Parts: sequence; structure tokens; C-alpha cells
Amino acid sequence: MKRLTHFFRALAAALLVLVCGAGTAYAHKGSDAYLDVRELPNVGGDRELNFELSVAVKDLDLAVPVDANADGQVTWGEVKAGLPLLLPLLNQNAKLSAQDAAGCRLDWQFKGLERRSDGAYLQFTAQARCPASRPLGFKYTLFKAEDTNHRLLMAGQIAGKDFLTTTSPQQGAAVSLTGSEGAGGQASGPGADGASGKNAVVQAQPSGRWVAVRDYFSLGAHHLLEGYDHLAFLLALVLPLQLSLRFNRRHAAPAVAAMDGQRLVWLNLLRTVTAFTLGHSVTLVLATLGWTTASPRWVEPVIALSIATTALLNLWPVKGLRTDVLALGFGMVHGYGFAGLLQEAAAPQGLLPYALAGFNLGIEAGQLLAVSAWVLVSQFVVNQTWYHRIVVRRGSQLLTLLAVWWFWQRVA
Amino acid sequence: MTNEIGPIATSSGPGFFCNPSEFQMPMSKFFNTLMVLLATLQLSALAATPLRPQSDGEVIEVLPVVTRSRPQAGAFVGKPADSRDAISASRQAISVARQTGDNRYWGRAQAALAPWWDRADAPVELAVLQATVQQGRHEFEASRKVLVAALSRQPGHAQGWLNLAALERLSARYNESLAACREVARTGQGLYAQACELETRSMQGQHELAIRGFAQLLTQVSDADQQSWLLSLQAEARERAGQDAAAQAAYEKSLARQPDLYTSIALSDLLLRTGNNTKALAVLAPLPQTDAVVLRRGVAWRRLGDPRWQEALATFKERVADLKRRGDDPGLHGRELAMSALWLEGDAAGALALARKNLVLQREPVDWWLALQSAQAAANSSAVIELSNEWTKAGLKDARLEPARPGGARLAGKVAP
Repeated sequence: MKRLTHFFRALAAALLVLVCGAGTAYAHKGSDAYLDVRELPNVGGDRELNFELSVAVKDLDLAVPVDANADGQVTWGEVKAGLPLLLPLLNQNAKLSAQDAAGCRLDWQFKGLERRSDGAYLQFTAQARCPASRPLGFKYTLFKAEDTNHRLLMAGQIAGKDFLTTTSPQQGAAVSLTGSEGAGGQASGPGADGASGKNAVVQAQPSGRWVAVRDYFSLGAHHLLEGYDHLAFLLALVLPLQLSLRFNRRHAAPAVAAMDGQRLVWLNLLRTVTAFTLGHSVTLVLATLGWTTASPRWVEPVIALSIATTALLNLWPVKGLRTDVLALGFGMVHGYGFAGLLQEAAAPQGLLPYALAGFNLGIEAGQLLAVSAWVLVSQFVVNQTWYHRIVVRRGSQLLTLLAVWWFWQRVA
Repeated sequence: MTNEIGPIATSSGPGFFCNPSEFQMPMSKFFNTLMVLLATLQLSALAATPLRPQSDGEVIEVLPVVTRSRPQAGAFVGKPADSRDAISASRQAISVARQTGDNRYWGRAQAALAPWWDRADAPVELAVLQATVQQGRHEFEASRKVLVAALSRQPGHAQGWLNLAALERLSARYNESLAACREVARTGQGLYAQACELETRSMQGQHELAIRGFAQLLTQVSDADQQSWLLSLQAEARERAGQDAAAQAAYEKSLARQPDLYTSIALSDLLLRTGNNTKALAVLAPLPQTDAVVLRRGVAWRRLGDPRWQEALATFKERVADLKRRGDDPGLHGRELAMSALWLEGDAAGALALARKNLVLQREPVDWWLALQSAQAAANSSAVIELSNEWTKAGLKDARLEPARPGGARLAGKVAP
């Protein structure tokens, strides 16, 4: 008993450490900026790279008058007003070594603000699409004249491998962004070895468009099949539908009614899945094209809630509340969830419609596959008398518990 | 004109609502590890948090100093830089670096001096500023070389000699330090020359002479900055003389005249050494949260049984990792590394190794004291004897070290982890 008390005291103390640390700002180091580089799966032979750069307001003010009224305080309004000066500064001082090819350049956009240990930082993003056949480097010269000790801490993923390095504006050479066995030449230059040559052949295949559709199709399908929360929602939807593949012809008379009932059930399934598809397609398109936005802060918990709600309705059905309407409404929320992923994967602007189409088709395919799998699996139990009691009720209870746990996780 | 060889870094944020002193940590290794882990996780999660201003007028950053001049793009190209601008820009950056402990300002000072940095023909004023930046970054050997070369070209540079005297003193080369102080006197800077000499003599054991000397100099100055500086020197001399209460009073008077980071840390060290942990925390709380400050708060918290010490340790370790990632040498902050090992990580042998390495870099009394504490905690009596021989040979006489002499009592004021 005493041990238990000790355990809880320790746990409370540990949690207190967690809580009390928040809000304490520390500063210690020299001036650092942070760059996150992510290379996307190869699309159409070109390399797609996403960049995210965070630079301290204190440092930016040194190069550009962010503190426009020189009162020592930088306001949000001043930051916004300073962007027309800041973006060209970045374009000039944080760029790719081979900026000649179309699209293979960094055009920095303001993303938002963040707080780090030594103060407020501005975040910027940029995307580049560069020929895989050439070596690629990142050249950073920000604050070269203003702060000799300034450093850029770089991290991310390049050519499927983790990437971590530090560079200084004083350093003459660009940092190589060419993965070690990557899609371009090494220091020796393009085409200098067999590997680059082989690569050039592979990428000579036609058209980014269909490649984009294909790549994003597989991304969508994978996402649905690996996205346990979407699967759980689908399961909650189809659990009460007793989908029998067996058509019993031996007892002709009652079979007519049974057939009609079965047809209704299948129709119900079709309607529900279609409604879900419709719902998430609408919001996926809207969010991807940037017409509407939704914060993952509410989308993710609501997705969890959608599972719980659907499962609870299986236990206590509410008259007049149709499954397909529910699927449509919650589908719209799930669509925002899909969109978040698609945005993370950052399709290149020109290929966006294709990427979107491919991604959505991939989700549908994954959905179809998942429902089919359930139908097959459920055949073993679907005609049992205890199907409703055990599978539907116990399954829904489990799903509810699971969803509540996810909800708590996502809110906390 | 003070020669602060202070630790580094800015802006603190007190944890207002948390007073977890009612929690008594069960001192098991498992929970200690758990807490450090949690604190580390939390810190990495906090590395960057989104900031969402609600209105245009919302202040998102306060600059320690308003930027008055910015290099125009391309302005320096083809045009020689103006040394007067460089001098004023680097002086300002140096002063902000000292006030805030924010290391980025050392980098800015260096940038202002860039056209002359490491140039044998740089004007002496600029070379001395370079040496000041290097000293501020604990690059003591490099700083000394630059100073010696510059002073050979222009022997009448008071600030240069004063810097050199401080460097020699912190390397425990007291005779060389006194020689540099005499050069300061030759330039006609009487006040600084006398303070310089008194400080070194107090290291050599002439405590009463120094304490009276500082008192006398105090009657000659009316400027708050200078009074504050002389009071802090007197406080240090009193500490070496073993007069802890009087030293504490002098530190407090100095801070009342003019608060500064270096003196505040020195006072907190005295309070921690004499077991006054609560007061040490109060002194440290409003300071910029430099590595040195975070670490000392951790020590005080640990001794008071406050679980936040784990958080402080995690923060400190994260910073050391950051320094490494930047490519900086964490060994330049060996004093703090040794303190962390001794008082927070409970690794006396490791602390002794770190403290001995630190003594190669700097040999201020506190560095010897720390090495001794580590040697005693590690029950390494041969190390105690070696250290004692070393500081005796260097000519250091300090009451804090006396009981550690072979045959002497165990050091007072020590709290074993």
C-alpha cells in the first residue's frame, strides 16, 4: 500500500514537472535558424522537395526593419507589414544552388509564427521541383554580414533517408541535397557514373500526370487501409448490416422475403458507403484547393467522436436518423482529415488536380477493399443467431471505448 | 569598463502557479529516470510552439536593443568599412551580450568587426574589441594572443591591458596580471589600475589590503556603475577572506546600485555554498535563464526537494546537445558541466574529470573549489592533495579552500548529492 502511495506521489510530481515547465522561456544559444527539408516520393522523374524555414524575429530585424517604428517591440502588424521586404531577403539568401530550371527554385511564402526557447520565430515555406539528373544544393547566406556566429540547423528526409546537418552563412559551399544513392549526380557531376545514367532512363518515362494519379492513388489507398480511425468508422457503419452472400433457394417461399430483405441491406450498404464517399470527397476537394480550411485541432477529435457516435447509435438506434445521412455528415469531417495528409504530401501545384483525383480514387479503392474484406470475414458469423448480440453489440461497445480513448488522446 | 568574464544568455519566465514543495520525491533511481525522461520529452515537445496573435497590435517579440543601423545590401561592396561604425556597433553588441547573456550578440559584435578580425594590421582598438568578444565566448587563449600582439603595437592602450590583466588573473598567473595592472597605471587610468592590482593581490592572500583598498576607492567614485563594480570586487575579496556575511552584504549593495548578471550569479554561488538555497533561488529567479542560471536553480531545487530540478537538468542537457549541434565546443563551459555532474547527476568521478579539464581553461578560485568538491565527493584523496599543491604553487590563497588542505577539515557549506 505504501509503495502504491509512493507511486502515485511520484506520478503526480512527474506530471507537475510536465505542467509547470510550460510557459517558461529559456534562451542560451547563439543565433540559429531551422530548416526542415522533405523530399516527396518521386513523381514523374523530377524531385519534389518541401522546405520549411524558421528564423528569429530578433535576427530578421537586423537585416530588415521589422520593428518599423523602432520602439524595441515587434507587433504582429509590423511583421505583416514587413513581409514585402522579408520574402525577397529570403529568396536571395536561402536558395537552391541550381536555380535555372523552371520550378527548381525557392519562392518563400510566409506560413506563421512560432515560439522557440529564445523568442518568436517566423516560419516560411517553399516547394521546389528539380530535375533528378542534376546535383542539387542549398545555399544559405542569411545574416552573413550581420552575425558571424549564425547557424542554420537543417533536418528532414532526403531520398528516403534522414538528413541532419548544420551550416553557416560563412561557409562558401552549398549544402548538398542529393541523397547518397539518390536521383542525381554526386559531387562528380551528372551522368558521371552508371547510376545516374540508369536513373535518367527511368525518369524518361512519359508524363507527370498519370504518374501523379498513380502515386497519389497508392497514397490514398494506403492511407485508408492504414488509417485505423477511418477503418473503425467504416466498421461502425457496416456492423449492423447483416450482409449475407448466401442465397438460399431451398425454401422457396420464405426466400422471396429474405431476398428482398437482403437486397435492402445491400442497397443500404451501397447508399451508406456512397454517402461517406460523397461527404469526404467534397471537403477533401475544398480543403485541398484552399477554399475552406479546418484545423486538425478539432477535426481529429471529431473523427474520433464520429466513430463513438456511430457505434453508440448501433447500440441505441435513434428513430429517423439514417445511417447514410450520418455517413455523409461525418464523411465531410473525415475529408478534412484526408486533406491534411494530402497537404502534408504537398502535391506540386501544376499536378494538383491529378494528385487529388488519384488520391480520392485511392481512398475509394481502399474503402471498397476494406468493406469487401469485412463482408467476406463476416460470412462466418453473419447467419448466427447471436450475430446481433455478440458482433453488433459487443463490437459497437468495443468501438465506442476505442473511440473515446482516441478522443481523449487527441484532445489532451 | 568592467571586465566581466561572465557566463552567458535572455528573458526569463517564472513558473507562477507551481509550488510543488509539498511533493516529496521518493528518491528511487527509477523515478529519477522517469522524471528526467518526462522533462526531456516535454522540452522537445516545447522546442517550437505555434504562436497565434489575436490582433495587429499584439507584441510578439521584445528586442533587447533597438536596431539603429542596418547594413545596406551591397553597401560595403567596393567601399572600405568605417572603423568608427564598427567600434560603436561592436561595443553595443558586447554590452547587450553581457546584459542578456544572449550569445547571438557576441556573433553580431564579431560581424561588426569582421573586416579586421584576426588581421595583424587591424587598428588596436578593434583588435582589443575582438579580444573582448573572444573572452566573452571563453576563448581565453585566442583572446590573450590577440591582446599581446595588439599591445606590442600600441602599449598605451588601457583597456587592452585591463583585459589582459583579467585573463592572466583567471589563469592564476598573478605576477603577469600585476604587471599588466602596472601598465594600466602608466596610461594614467589610476582608478582602474588600482582596482586591478587590489583584485590580484586579494587572490594572493592580501585580503585585508584589498578590502580596505576597495573601500577607499569607493569614496572616490560617485557613478552608480563604478560603485556597483567596486562593491562586487570587494564582495569577492571578502569571500576569499572567509567573511561570508560581509561578502553577501557587499554583493547585495552592489546589485542595489546596479543589477548585473555576473554579480547576481556570484551572489547565488555564495548563497548555495552557505546553504541558503531559498535565497539563492530568489536571486536567480529574475535573471535571464542562461545555462549558468538554469543549472544553479536546479542545484537549489534539488537541495530543497523540489522536483523541478529534473526539469532544469533536462534543459541544461538539451542546451549542451544544442551547442554540439551548432558546432560549438561545450568544453568552454566546463565549470557548468562539472557542476551539473557533481550536484545534479550525482557523478562525482565524472565531475572531477570535468573540473580538472576546466582548470586547464580557467583557474578562478571557484574553479579550484569545484574541483576540490568533486575530489572529496569522489573520496579521491590523492586528487585532493594534487589540487592543493597546484593552487598553492599558483599562489592562490582563499579561505574557502583552506579546510581542504591535507589534514584539514572537510569543506564547509558542502551539500553532498
